[in-house]
Amino acid sequence: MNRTTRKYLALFVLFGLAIAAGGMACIDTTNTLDRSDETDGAT
Amino acid sequence: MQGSNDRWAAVPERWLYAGVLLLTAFAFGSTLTFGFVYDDHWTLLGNGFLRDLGNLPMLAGPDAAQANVPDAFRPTLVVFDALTYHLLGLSPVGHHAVSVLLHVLVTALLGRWLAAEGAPRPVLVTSMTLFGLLAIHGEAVAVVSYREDLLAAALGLGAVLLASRSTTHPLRAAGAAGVLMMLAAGAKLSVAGLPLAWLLLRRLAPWREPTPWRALVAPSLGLLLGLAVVLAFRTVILGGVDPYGDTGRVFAQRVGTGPVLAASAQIHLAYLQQVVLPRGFSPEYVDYAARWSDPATVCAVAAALGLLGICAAAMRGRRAPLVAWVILATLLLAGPTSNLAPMPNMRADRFVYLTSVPMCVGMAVGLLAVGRRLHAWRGLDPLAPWIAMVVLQGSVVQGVTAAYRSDSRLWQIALRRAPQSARAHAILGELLTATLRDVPDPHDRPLLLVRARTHCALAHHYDEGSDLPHLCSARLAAAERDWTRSNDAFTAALERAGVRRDRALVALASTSIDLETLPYDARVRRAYDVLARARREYPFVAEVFAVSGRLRHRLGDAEGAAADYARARDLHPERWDVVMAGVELQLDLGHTAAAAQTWASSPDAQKKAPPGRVLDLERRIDDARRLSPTQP
Repeated sequence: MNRTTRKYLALFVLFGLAIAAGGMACIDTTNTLDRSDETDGAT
Repeated sequence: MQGSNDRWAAVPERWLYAGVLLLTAFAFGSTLTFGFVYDDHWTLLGNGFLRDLGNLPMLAGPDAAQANVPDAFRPTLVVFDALTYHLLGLSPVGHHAVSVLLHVLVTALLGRWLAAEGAPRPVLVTSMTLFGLLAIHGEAVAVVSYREDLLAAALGLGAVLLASRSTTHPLRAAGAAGVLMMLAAGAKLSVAGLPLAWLLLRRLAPWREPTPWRALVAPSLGLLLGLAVVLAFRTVILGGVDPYGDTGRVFAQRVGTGPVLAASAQIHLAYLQQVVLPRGFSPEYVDYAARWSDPATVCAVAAALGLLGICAAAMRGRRAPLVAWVILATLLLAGPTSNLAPMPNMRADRFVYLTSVPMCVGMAVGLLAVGRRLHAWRGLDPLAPWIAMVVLQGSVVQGVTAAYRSDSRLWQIALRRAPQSARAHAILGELLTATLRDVPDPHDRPLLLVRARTHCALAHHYDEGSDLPHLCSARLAAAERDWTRSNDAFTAALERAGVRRDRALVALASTSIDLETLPYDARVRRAYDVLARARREYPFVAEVFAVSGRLRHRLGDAEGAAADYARARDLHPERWDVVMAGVELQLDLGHTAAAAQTWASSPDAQKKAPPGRVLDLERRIDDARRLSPTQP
């Protein structure tokens, strides 16, 4: 692997870290527990 | 562009792709912890058609559509769903991994297609990263059943890639491209604009000499023929191309096509904004009508005409063929979901999945151009605008996908974004009603009831004509043990339901038994009639047979109940409640040994069922053994 390739891949690793950090600021919070929709039941 | 071109020239092709594709997979990695949501429940979990590969030949004719098999008019998708079920069962991790891999595959195919068309490396890498991380793709990747868009895009891009490479063996490549296009359109007709988009790219040829018309005939015919086969197939099995025609789910049928198209013009301008500036995403959008004189419509139409003007100017003398292709291909690919044909939802983030391909190419070229200007002006890195956009889109996509982690989260966020959605209110009302079943503290019950009632009432207020508000009220009434009110509401829901009438039918049968206003014989007759209709119309819905079995069991029809439980188990072997009901039936019949054996041979049901229910059943089996040791 040449130096340019290492720099190219390092850029993508940095992307990953930036996205992980940025993603935390973008997630909506909710006040209910995660629950599956069981409304397909009969009654 | 030159600076960045030099920078990546020494990167081997495999690493060039690996960087982009690994980042794409990473960005959607969190979806592997998500559950099944939204349409997954009825198209995958409750869809018994997928459980037996022997059913698949039914897709070749009208039988599957007549049996109300979900998406029967998309045979490629149903076959794919059946194969993934047999490979992965109902593992949410496995199915989410398939969605992520499909998205990675589509991103890779986009790169291969652009490379085959002679796109320079910076355009290729920039376009791929933008497509891979585009925030508007959150819904299509995070919801398992929306892989229809990913599958269609993967097969469609595979088809145009083959068509682009059809130089050495043109006829063979054209044939293969046609087959792939047929499979793609069989997954979803969103690919309908792709053959023309491909033809335009070949003729406008932004990165090479235009291909002569003569060389384009065979691959174009192959692609169009693939598409034509699917349209003909739909006409045969549905009696027309449109699967939503008479289902009552299409807003255009209520308000007319004109107001819907005016609203659709606004929606498409909003899509453009969401792609370029990623905000305003929602799991739910409310259908609405607009006037052509509304300021928002005027702006949207002016924007569309402006883009067409730019396109015309760009095409003149081949001044900017790439700009012309981006605009025309975007319009072509947006065609199938632009509400020109009836759609059950006027707007959804997932509709933009394939349309975003030319948009990403246009954005990539634009960001690189801005980067070059900034470099010349302020000495900034020419890739700076692209880097900023990748981080922005990738960060926002984390938030977009997180909304689809579970149904309760999804509908709560849906209501926040679309507070006038009757569907969101109705489903939240039903979710709250379902919560009533396992509320440990009885003091919490009144508050939950009020919340559920409020959501149901608002659902009625916003869309009285839909079946969902009535289903909400019916289940709420059932939770309050008001069987007459519940039965009336289920009847109203059934009258309004265009598709998925099974939910109202089985509930109607259940509540009919408890109708105090009818004599007992009439109640039983009515329940049996409704059940017979449900079994006839929905032969692949496990819930229909589970409820039918429970009612026949309750009414003393042991043979019918056993047959229904067996069918429900075949259609949905993962349901623990059906296994338990079958064991209880055997105990009621005095077949203790058989009951014990069935229960012992169902470790999955023992694991999944609530511990209290497991304990109760095992006590019953022990009691039966102790009290009647001589029974079989």
